[in-house]
Amino acid sequence: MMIDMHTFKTFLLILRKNIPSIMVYTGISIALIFMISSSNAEDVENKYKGTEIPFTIIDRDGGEFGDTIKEYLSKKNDYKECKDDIDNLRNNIFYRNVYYVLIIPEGYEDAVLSGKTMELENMKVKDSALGYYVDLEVNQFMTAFRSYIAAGYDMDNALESTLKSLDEDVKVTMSDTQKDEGYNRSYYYYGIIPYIFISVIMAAVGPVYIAFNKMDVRRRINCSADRFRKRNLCLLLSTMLVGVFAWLLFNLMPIIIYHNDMSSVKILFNLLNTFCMAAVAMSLAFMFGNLANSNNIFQGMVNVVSMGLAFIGGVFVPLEVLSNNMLKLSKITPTYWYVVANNAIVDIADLDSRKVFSGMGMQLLFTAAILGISMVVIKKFRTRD
Amino acid sequence: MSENIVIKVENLVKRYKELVALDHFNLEIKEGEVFGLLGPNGSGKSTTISCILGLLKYDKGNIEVFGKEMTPSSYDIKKDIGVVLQNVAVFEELTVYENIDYFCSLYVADKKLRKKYVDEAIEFTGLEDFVKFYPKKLSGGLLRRLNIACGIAHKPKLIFMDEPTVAVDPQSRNNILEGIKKLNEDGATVVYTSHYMEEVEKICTRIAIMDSGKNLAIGTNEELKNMIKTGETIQVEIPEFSENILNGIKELPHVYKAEYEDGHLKVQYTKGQRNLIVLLDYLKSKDINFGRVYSELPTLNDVFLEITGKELRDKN
Repeated sequence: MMIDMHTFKTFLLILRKNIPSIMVYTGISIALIFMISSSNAEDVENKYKGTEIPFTIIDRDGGEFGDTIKEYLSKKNDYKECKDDIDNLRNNIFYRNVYYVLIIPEGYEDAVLSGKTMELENMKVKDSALGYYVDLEVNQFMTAFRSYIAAGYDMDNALESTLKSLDEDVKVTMSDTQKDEGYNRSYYYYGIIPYIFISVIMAAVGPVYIAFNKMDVRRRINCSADRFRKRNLCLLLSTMLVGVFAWLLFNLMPIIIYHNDMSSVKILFNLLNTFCMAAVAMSLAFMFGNLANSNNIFQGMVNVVSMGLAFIGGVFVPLEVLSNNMLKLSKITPTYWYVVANNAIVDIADLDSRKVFSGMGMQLLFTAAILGISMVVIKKFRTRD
Repeated sequence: MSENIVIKVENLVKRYKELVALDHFNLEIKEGEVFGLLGPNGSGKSTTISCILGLLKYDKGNIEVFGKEMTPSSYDIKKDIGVVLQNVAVFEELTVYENIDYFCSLYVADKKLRKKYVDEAIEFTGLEDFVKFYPKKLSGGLLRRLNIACGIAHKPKLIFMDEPTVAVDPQSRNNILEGIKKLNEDGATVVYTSHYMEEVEKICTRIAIMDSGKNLAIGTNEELKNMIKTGETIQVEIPEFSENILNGIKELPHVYKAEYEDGHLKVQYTKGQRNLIVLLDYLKSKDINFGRVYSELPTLNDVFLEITGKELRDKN
């Protein structure tokens, strides 16, 4: 069947009016995907780092004890020098310059050695977990130190032994929920593609359908010699052209930018998977464009459909953290099958081709189903007129 | 005018649930006519047009256009039809030129020919200065003209105009009516619906009066007026009047109704000549002082009033 060039031309003319909003949408999308892919792709292994809490010690005793506990606390925290003045200390705590102030009273070492009771004083940010954390460290130090003194160690030995006993640090290893290979920037880029495709393609094409479907315009065209089926086919093909353009644009960028991260096989699989997703987005644009009768309603539809499918389908939230019930729901969305295929493509060396191709196949089935429903709906609309 | 039948509607019935919009409606329109469908709002004019154009499914009846059965997919018939719908049907996103070009392209594939047709339609509707305007920037009158340009640009043999002058200023209305006459002179058959009787009287060669989905009367302007009893109505301003004189007037030749109300004597005549002279001579003979005198020939509204017992449209 020949393409209606006049319908195609009009499609482009209406699309042209929509270019500023398409550009804004595309620009925001590009910024968003680069932001997300950059922030997620940082080296996961280096992610853990202990928090260094600002603290200070006011040593009024001036002995070895003060130097040693300062050395101990400084290993994990950030020591700040402060003047021994109560107002000054309060101000520093108020402005969060320090979260914890340890005050060693004058004559503390002598009191400890002679067996007298003399407590260390402290000031900390009220109800702060950080101050509480330093408090715990001080108590830990004091428990060990007192044990050595009670065991008959002199001050130097007791302090040295305390430091040694507390020297062992807990080694934190992040659990390896993700395989190292492939979880790079391109993975995160492709992970968000469904949302981008659905929102950009729908936002671009929808207003054209709305223009063609305005009651009076539709009635007027239906009076004409223009064949209904031919016109719809032309609109669908025009939508596909927009979809292919978006597909090329959003694939060209990662290929140029992340080509070092991706093998040619991986690029090929990504191209196929994103093409299937673009097909889904085109069919959604076709369906909702024909359903909506105003631009405002359509904008609402774009947001609900793109965000809804992204959240339920595992685009924004990893499939691993979805509940079983949610996963069941997720499986009836095309985005889920895109994510399944995308996750399988990551491990290209040990590719699970069944997952990849079933994911793509399901997306194409969804496309066919959505188009089929759209055709029925359009026919209903036509007879309703 | 040839006798070729362009549109033939037989026993057309269209129901909207309980409401019967068209009740065994019959119509024949001949080639070269400017045919008026006259009736109040809700009488079934637009429904008739929608059925003929294949926009509405009907429950019963038969419609033929150019001698062939008309269906929604009669594209070979539709290519010779132009449509100007009641509501302006244009793309807000396209300029005046692009709109006319698009609607013309629904019928004319040849680019060169289409350009010629579009330019002629622009000239015909006087939109030369507005070709780059978007519809939002056009006044109501200009929008109507654009609607007409989109409907007639492909030079159709049969043109439907469904109330094209609604909400149009008098000057634009006259331009539109002159344009319709011109289209007819150029060979197009025009089907024109309106509830403005003056318009229909002015441009239509034959008129059908519709009400409640029925064709009440059909004929030329004169034929319709001849169908009714009233041939002439004379009104005279008379400050004082007696019942005896009124009875005397009722006895005058051709008078079939006479009444006096609020200082006005209204006398209705069947056909007849010298009615005014006879009436004035009678008033003088009775020494009755009178003021202004009006003599009116019957209008389509009188025709409608006499046939249906109600006004064609609200007086305002």
